[in-house]
Amino acid sequence: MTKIILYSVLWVCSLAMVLLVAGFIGWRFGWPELPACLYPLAGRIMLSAFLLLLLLGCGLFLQALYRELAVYFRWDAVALRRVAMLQRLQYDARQRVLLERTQIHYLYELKRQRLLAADNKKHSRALFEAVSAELRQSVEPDSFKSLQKHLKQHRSQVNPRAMLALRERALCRSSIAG
Amino acid sequence: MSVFNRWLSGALGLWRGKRDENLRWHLARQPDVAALRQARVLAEQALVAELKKQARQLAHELAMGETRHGNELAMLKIQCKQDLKDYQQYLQSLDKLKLSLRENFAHLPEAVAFTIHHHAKQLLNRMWDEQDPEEKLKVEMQLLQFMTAVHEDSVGSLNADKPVSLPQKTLAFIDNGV
Repeated sequence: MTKIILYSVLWVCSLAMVLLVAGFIGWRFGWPELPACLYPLAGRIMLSAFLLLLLLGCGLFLQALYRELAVYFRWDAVALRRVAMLQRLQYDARQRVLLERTQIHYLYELKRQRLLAADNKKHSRALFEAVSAELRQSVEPDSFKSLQKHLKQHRSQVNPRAMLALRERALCRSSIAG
Repeated sequence: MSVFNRWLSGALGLWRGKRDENLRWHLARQPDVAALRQARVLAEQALVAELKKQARQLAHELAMGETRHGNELAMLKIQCKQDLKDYQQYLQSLDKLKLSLRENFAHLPEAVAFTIHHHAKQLLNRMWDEQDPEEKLKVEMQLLQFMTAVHEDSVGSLNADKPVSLPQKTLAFIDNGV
């Protein structure tokens, strides 16, 4: 069918070209009525050939569309797509579970670290109070102020080791001096 | 004219002969073609049936997996919550340990009480973070021994005639770097 239409288009184009040539020859031989009659006719015939070609293109496009749709909605294609979708869903579910496990572990670890930080802070504060009271009695007021400043700094950094080291240094110094 | 007629009828005869031959060829192969077409339809139906069966199986597995994963995640959440509670209780018991040290050793410096508590907490965190079960058990045993030493010191201090200034066993435990 496509071949027939294509040949028809070629024939119509050829006819239009023949008419154009005939019109041209008529003009050369001094018959101006001939081109005046043939040229518009050749133009319309050429246009109809292109229209036919356009119709052929549309027809082919619709045919291809129909074929693709028919293939897409075939039973085996639908079943295959469903299997692929279920496999994908299964894979996604596995990945989601892994991520959720990681999330639960992360949240648990976060809560534990918060508990630990709060506990560290509480004991650091208690240590600060105790060391501060101890130093107030052991060192002179002038040096106590500077020591307490350092102690506060260590307390805000939650660094009990530094507080203990400071206490040890201050007590050693005061025992040497005293 | 008769020559043309003869030539035309010869050509038409040849064309008809070829058409007849073509038709006979098609008729001869008709059963094979029909059998092949039938086999193709049957194969397609078998494929669709197989795919549908696979899809049903996958859907079933997916539903089972969803339920299993939901249960696993719920169990994990409960386990994490319990772990967090255990950790909190451990921290509270370490606080109580520190308090009992203070009560039983009246002149115990806060720095020493803090160091003992800090050591116990470090052991606890090591135990908690350890991934290897054997190592975890080992650290847990160390923590137990450490707490036992503290308890023995407290009991010793209560039973002693003279007031004891320091928990010797506990400090020896820390000194040994256990």
